[in-house]
Amino acid sequence: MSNLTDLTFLRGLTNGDAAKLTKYINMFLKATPDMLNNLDKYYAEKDWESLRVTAHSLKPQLSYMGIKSLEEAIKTIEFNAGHQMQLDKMPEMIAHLREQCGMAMKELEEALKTIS
Amino acid sequence: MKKEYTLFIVDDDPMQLEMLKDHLSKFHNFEVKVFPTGEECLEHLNEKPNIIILDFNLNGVNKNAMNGIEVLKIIKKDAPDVEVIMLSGQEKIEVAVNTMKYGAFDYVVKNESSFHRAENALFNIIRRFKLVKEAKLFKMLAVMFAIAFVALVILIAILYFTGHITNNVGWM
Repeated sequence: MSNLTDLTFLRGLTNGDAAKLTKYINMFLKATPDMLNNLDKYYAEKDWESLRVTAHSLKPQLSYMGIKSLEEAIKTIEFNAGHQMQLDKMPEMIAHLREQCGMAMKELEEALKTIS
Repeated sequence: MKKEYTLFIVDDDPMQLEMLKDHLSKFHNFEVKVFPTGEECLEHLNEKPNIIILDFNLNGVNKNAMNGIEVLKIIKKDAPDVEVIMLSGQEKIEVAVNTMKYGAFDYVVKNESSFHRAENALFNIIRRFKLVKEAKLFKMLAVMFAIAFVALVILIAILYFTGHITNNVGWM
């Protein structure tokens, strides 16, 4: 099975500095569960603007962790929330995002063990 | 040692803030200060930053926080010489145009290339600062030269009318 994450960009940006790489991955691991919970919360509250802003904030972070497979999904959530389109499909899209992010975070936790 | 330029980075995303700070701190002539809200940045404007990198969406964490455009307008009103680079995940051209309309120097989309694009924008601003400084210096030199020339003409006139110099050329 191919990896969901790709740390090539981060390794390049940090010039292979293990401390910085570890710091950024840990920041992602800390922030992402809250952001995913917020997506569910704002959907339940029908707060589309907050849902859009949360997806918008998550988008670059996924990109930095090299999670390319979720690029379109997060853009669609942001766009649909902003335009209040296909809202009935939103729970399914958020669930998919949550599942994939969960797998990506496990990969990143594993990657942390090898970074030194 | 005091750094040549002070750079503020304003973003409510801690990871983006940290990554950008780390990346731009590599350049030794920048003193980098970071703020998670536009309000905090504005409170520190009296520290006279030269450049501010400002996120477009600053109300992701606190819904009542000022957004980037509001902060940009205040910066350009209170400190018009400060150059602002807007940063956003929005790829829409109209968002970029809008920020330029309010006085932003450049607009950088948050993605993998944003770090190098922000770096390029910073160096373009510095090049501009240097050109402005040189233009001011040349203007000052031109004024000084004009003053010296007028003073010389006045001195010659005084010497001529007081008889210290004449029309006669000495060796003829």
